[in-house]
Amino acid sequence: MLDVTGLSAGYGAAKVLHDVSLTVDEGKFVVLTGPNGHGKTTLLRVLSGLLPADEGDMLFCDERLNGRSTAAIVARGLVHIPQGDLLFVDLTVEQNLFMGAYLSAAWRNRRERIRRVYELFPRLEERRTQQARTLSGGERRMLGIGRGLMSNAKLLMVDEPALGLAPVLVQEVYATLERISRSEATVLLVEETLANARGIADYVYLMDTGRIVHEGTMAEFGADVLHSTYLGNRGS
Amino acid sequence: METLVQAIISGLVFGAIYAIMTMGLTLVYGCLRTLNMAQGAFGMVGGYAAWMLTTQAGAPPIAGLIAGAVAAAGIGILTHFISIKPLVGRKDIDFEMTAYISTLVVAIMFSASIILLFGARNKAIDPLVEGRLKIFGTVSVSWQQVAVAGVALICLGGLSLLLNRSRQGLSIMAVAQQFDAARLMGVPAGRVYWVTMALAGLLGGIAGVLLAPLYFVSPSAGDLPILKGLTVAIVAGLGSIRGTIYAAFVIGLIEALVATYVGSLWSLPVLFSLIVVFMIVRPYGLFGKPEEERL
Amino acid sequence: MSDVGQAPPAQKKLAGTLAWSRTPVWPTIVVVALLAFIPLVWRNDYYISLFTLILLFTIMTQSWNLTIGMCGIWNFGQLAIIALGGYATGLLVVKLGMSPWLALLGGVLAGGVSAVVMVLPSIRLRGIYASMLTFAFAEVVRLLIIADSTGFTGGPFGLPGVTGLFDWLSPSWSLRAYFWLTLVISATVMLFVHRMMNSPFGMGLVSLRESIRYSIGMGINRRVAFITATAISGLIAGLAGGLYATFYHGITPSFMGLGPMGALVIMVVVGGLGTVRGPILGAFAVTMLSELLRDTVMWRLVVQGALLLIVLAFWPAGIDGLLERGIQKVRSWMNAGQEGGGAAQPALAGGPAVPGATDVGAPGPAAPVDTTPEAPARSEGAVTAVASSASTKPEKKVGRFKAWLNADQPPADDQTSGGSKGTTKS
Repeated sequence: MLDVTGLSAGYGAAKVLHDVSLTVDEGKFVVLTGPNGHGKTTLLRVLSGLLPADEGDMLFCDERLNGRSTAAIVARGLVHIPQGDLLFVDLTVEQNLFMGAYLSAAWRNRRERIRRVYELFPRLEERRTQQARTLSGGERRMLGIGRGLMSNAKLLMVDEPALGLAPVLVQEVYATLERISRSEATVLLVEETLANARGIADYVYLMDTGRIVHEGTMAEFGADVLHSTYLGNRGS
Repeated sequence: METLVQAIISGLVFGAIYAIMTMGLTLVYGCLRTLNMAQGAFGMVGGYAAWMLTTQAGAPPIAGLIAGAVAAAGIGILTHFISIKPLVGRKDIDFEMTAYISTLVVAIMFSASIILLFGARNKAIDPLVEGRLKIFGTVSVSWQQVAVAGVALICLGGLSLLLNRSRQGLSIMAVAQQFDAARLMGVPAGRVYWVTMALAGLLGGIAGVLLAPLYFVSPSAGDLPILKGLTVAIVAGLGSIRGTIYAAFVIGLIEALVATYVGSLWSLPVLFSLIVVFMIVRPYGLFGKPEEERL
Repeated sequence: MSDVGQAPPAQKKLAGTLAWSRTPVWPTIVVVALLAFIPLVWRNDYYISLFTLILLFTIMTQSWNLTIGMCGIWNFGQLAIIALGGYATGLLVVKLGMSPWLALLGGVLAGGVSAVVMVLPSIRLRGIYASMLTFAFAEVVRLLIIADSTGFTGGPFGLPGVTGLFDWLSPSWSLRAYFWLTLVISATVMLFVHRMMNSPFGMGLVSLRESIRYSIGMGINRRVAFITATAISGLIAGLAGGLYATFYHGITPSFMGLGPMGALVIMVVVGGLGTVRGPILGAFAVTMLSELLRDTVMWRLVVQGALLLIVLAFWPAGIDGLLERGIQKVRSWMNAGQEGGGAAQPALAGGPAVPGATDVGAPGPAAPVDTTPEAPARSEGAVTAVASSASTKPEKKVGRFKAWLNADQPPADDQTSGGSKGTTKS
């Protein structure tokens, strides 16, 4: 579904991603892990069109993403749910969700889609008319994910859904993400703490200083691989 | 007592006009982080358009109002393209300040262009409606004031609907509140920008046409409105929609009371002193966000 | 060039001599002498007065440039300060019968005081709020004068009958005397500004403009620096105002209006903000342009405005920026193959362009691939200048300033001397 080959990108003179290659098959729950600050978010930004790619190819459902606008990418079904939620804090929960369906195709079906989202997140329905700024941390996370679902997303790229949440909530969020990956859309997850995704992830990529240094199924990611990446030889 | 009521009525009516006028400033600041100094000029151009249609072409006043709004909206878009758009996203300038100067200069240019086209003299324009309505004692309100209040309220109501329900309106607020997320939803920021400017123009134009019968149509008709708009915006807190409405009425009332009991020449100095006080004590206004760093 | 970390007393001396030697005193004197011939050979009084006006404008723009270009504070009340200087001078002459020369000193003082008063409340505020505050102050002053019906200031019609400085000469010679006086004053101001900007104090100012948090962290007392710069700017502005009032034998509140202010802004920005030559070039260019369009008065405003917009869009560094680039090209061409051709004169506290540009970078991606524009970049003093060339400049300048501050202390001492007051919290 998503095919990235040899991607390099950066901010001006500072190169962040080096020759990154990654594949996400439809229906598989893929996790991108690695120490923070090593390019995971940057990769998502390139994929969603916020940052240009310097080299390499990105294919989504056999269509090339390079050089396309964010609106076009979202229209094609590739949705980036950003780190830290980035909610529209003064808008209501419902308005935030509707904004997720901004693009015309999704907008027409927004009322149906919002019902689906409310099924997944009943607490959001309770707080429909509340301003987003009044929500708790866990609820905000749910709203962020729900908002991403509102577009007719085929692939959701979720950036650090566990960030800042208590462990109980993290479990809840991951359970929901699993549900989503089974019924709504394929999920590509960025998660610094791989343990959070145990039992859910089908395939894992390990990124270190902007390069993919290891990939494989969950089973292949033993403690030693992670230790050496997070604690030892950082290669910089 | 009756002078008081009269003053209050006048204050409320003006408050309504200021609310519309300043709303343009608020929207543009929220969305584009620009203090649009051409907002007064929008009203000025709107006044001229209305004047042309009503006095020169003999159309009914309501057509003048619409023409003024549309013309000003066009000017709003023009302003965006010549003075704001060239500055967006550039790293070599301080955007906020540069856009401030840009729009200020553009306002001056509009004034000068109007003088070229129409001459420098004031032009009179008829109010939308004539006549007065007695309420009690010596207190009366002119039908014009009623009409103005009515138009203003309709505008504000329409704006609220637009911003809260429609896709475009929501996208304006979204871009203002969280630019990156808006882009991630596929919102085309460029379009939102000029739509916001058009909206600001529309609102400014309506305010201008409503004020025109009182203050004449002239090239400098935009000077006072922008100053008052700034006062309202500062008291409200830049970018706060709710604050703008409250502050507009407060300012309108203060102005009316000062004019009635002290003298109309003093209302402006008082207003500006208000700006000064607020800046010192609470620069982010009544409803603004303290995250707007002071330093 | 000495690096940060050398013994302070020696560095202070070194900085002093270096600054002085770079100030183009002799070239300026030569140019002034040459220009001084103009009124002697040219008969046309009209053009002499035009040039005198331009010179007056250069004094005004230079004074404004001190706060805007050098400090990054947008004092939109500058015209009001100039006008207050003019009114002070005028009132002293008209009401107290003072000699215009003495009254001029009064104008200077009035300028300095009012500038500080106007800026004081806005120091704590962010750029846009600060400038709105000064704008509001200026408007209050203007409106109060217009509303003045007691006849003290002459109200909306202005204050007439101010004796000129050289009224004891014939009008023609008086005009020429003014030309020479303003020429000398303008040149002196320029040299003074140049000297100041290359002193540790001036460089501290520029680093404050570039990166506020960084500079404060380095121990620069922001408030003292801004107030001093504003005071100096005000003194010069007051002088300009006084000169204006005596030259035109009067002053009116319309002098402070939106139009003249716009013209001043255009002059400073088009000339090149934050540079030493900029204000002079700008005053010259814009006034000459106005002259050319003299017959079509109203077109003038439109054209000037368009000029500003074009400059902002394409050459935000202004005429001075273009000139500087040209000079660099010539220099590097001349020095081809020789060492040291590149690092020419960063000394002119030179504008990284327009309105207080900081080493910004909107928090986010670089220029996007498609037409989707960036969020309007919000100016924040970046905490550390990352990989940009601008980082070396503040560092060096700030180091010297700090050294200057700590001149009498051993180098290893804890640097809390000037720094403790300059924290971010007001």
